[in-house]
Amino acid sequence: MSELGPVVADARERLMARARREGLETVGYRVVDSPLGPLWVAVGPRGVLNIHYGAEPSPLELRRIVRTYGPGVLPDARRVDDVARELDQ
Amino acid sequence: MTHPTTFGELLEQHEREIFAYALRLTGDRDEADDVYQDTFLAAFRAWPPPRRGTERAWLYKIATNKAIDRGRRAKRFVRLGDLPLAAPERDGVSLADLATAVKTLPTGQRAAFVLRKVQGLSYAEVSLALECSEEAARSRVAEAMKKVKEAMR
Repeated sequence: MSELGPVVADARERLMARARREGLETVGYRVVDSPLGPLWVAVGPRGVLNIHYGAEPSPLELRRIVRTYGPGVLPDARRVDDVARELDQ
Repeated sequence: MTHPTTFGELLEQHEREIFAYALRLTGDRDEADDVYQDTFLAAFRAWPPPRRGTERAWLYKIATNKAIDRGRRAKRFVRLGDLPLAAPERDGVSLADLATAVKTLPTGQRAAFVLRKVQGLSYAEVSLALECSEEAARSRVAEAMKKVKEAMR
């Protein structure tokens, strides 16, 4: 099922666009490569919410985000792009 | 597998298998994409899952219903060219079996067959996904297997 990866990735992008349009996404996140290693970056309605060392947030931080913003925490590369660019500079 | 607390965790844990399931049910990449989108949007809107620990079966149930709804709206031919994407990796069911199943089985049996024999769900999960008793799930799978075997002769 090696071809499935890119197909699902495309489907996910369309899903994220629809979730954004419908207001189902409150927080977008992605893993950003940095000189310090991977960083988990989350962006909410008012900008950067959380930057965590590693590919996953700490369960404690994630619970805090869910308590504040609800469960609509979704992988959304587009929403984190600007922050990723800034981190890269 | 941890219990998802966010839409993202639910998506990351199950999106590949749900897409593969949709592909196996519909036999068409575009249709599978639609079923995938409809399934996760419906899950997000209906959040939280009815019971902790049944998220996987819950998603399969939504996906099955979405595929059936779409199938009712548009009776369509199966595009067999998309089936290689759906080829199972870990059991003895061949692509030809799958193609035959997709072509010949009624929707309920097709869903039961794919959930059990291709996706590897337990009968308890199949019954949750299809909203039927475990006995009915076993019966649907057995009937589907019989038809697939007959079609392969």
